[in-house]
Formats: sequence, structure tokens, C-alpha cells
Amino acid sequence: MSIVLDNAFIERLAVILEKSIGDSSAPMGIAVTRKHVSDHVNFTDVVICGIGITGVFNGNLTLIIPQTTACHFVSKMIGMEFNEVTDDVLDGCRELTNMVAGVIKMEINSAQCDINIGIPTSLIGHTLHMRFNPSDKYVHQQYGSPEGDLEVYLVCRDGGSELHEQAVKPAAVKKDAAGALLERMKNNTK
Amino acid sequence: MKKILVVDDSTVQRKMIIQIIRSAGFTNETLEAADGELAIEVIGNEFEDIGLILCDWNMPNMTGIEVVGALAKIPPLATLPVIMVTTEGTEAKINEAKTANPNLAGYITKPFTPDRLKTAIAPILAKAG
Repeated sequence: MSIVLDNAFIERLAVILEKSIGDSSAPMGIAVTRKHVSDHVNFTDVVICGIGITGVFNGNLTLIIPQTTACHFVSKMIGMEFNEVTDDVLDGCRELTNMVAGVIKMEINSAQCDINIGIPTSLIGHTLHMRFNPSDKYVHQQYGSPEGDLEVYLVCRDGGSELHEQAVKPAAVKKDAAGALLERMKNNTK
Repeated sequence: MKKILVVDDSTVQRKMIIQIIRSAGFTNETLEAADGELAIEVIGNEFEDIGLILCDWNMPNMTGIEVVGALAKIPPLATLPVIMVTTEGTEAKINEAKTANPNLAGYITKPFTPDRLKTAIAPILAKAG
């Protein structure tokens, strides 16, 4: 099934994105509310988390979180204080991105469309300048929370009609999991 | 008291799950594995003491579905309670997991509330001891 990236679809995606952010952050004790987006937010010293999307549209979801906010978020998530960006903070931000993308996937799937999501990646930097192709469509939202603000982009390009699972997920090498398990058990039977 | 194995490639997710288990008052020892391959190692070493496995789906090296599928093929482990904890929440994926392991004890879609996890694990741990 292919779709047209028209304004109606993008508006629907904006609603889905807002729901996904709320549904993903609330269970972790992070209360986010939508804020008015200015064209140039210019967060500095940020954690950037992205996840690829393929399917009825191709694109990506990108969360841009100031590093102090990222530390506060992950502190909330696991009840441990973070004052600087550590591997755990990056891992927590990737997990948040993964959950948001998961909710988007479920919402889109319920509309009889299908997308696949990839493995989230993260990086840290001073600023992020998003550049788009002229044909790209995107949803750009900003959220506020007691822990700080964050910015989200959901970018769509060329309405793909097929799922390209291998393009976004590293194929797990098929292994004889049962054989490996039996072997281990033999060596460890009390 | 039986041990709980938490399998997820996200360290933070594993910590969150263990924190929920602790805050719910369960004192079972917890084991961790960061992918399916490591889970196979832990299960192979500790299978007699494990009473519950909480397993993510998408992980590097070996996926969670391969792990639960392997358990189903080995009679002594086929009834070992496994709850999938994953962002893969579509009907097709849930059915795929149930096909791989017909004895699947539960399926929790991320994001989940602490209560959702507590409700799912409480009866299993009560039975496992």
C-alpha cells in the first residue's frame, strides 16, 4: 500500500507524534506538554537520537534533547542522579526514542498501513542544523517539561510502498539457539 | 526463591525493569543479559534456578524471538514462564511470538506502566516461589 504525503497525512502524523511523545514519556514519570514551535529553537549542547523508518513512507524520527534535560530525563527513568552525559544517559535517550517510534508504528499500523523502525542511534554535539530535501515533508514539534524542553522532527520522504526491513535492522545471523542452549545445559546440569 | 532474567539490549531499560520489580516488593535475585546470545548463556547456566524471563524482541546478535523459540523446543524449558517486553506491539508480531512459543506467559508492549509489569509478573512469581 502506498500513501500520498499530502497535508492531510502530515497533519495526521503530527497528531500521532504528539500522542506518541505523551504515551512514551508518561510511564517513565516525565510529564511533557506541547509548546509552540519557533522556527529556530537552537538548542545548544544537545543529545541527538535518531531512528530510521521505512514502509508506507521512508524517513526518520529525531529527538533533540539538551544535555541537561537528557540527564534529568534518565535520572527520572531509573531513579539515579546524572549530572553529565554518560553511556547510560545516551542509552536512556535512545530507549525513549525507540518507544516513541514504537507507538508511531502501532498507530500507523492501526490505520492499515505499515512501517518498520530501525535501531536507535545517538550522538552528542553543540548544535544540530537540520537540512531537508525540497521534497521532504516533516513534522516539527517542541515540548516542555519540568526537566526541560525537547524538540522532535518526524521526517517523511518518498512514500515507499514496500517494507525494507533489512535496510534499517541489522539482520540477526540465524543461529541454532536451541542447540547452543542444549549444549550449555549439558555442561551445567546439577 | 527463583531468579528473574531480564533480557534487553538497553542497560537503562533493564535497570528500569529491575527497579519496578524491587519497588513491587519482589526480592528475587535478578540476572541480566544484553542480547539473545548472552541470554542463552545465562539460561544454559542457570536454567534450574530461573523462574521468569522478561525478554525484549529486537536485540543485536540474537533476537528475543529466537530465544523464546529455542526455549519452546527444549522440553524442560518449554514451560519456563517468558514475558515478551517489546516495542513490537502489532497483532502480527504478537501472533508470531505466540507461534514461536505457545507457552508464552505474557506480552507487554513498551512503553508500559510499572503497574502493567507488576500485574503481569506477580502471579507468575507467586507460583514459582
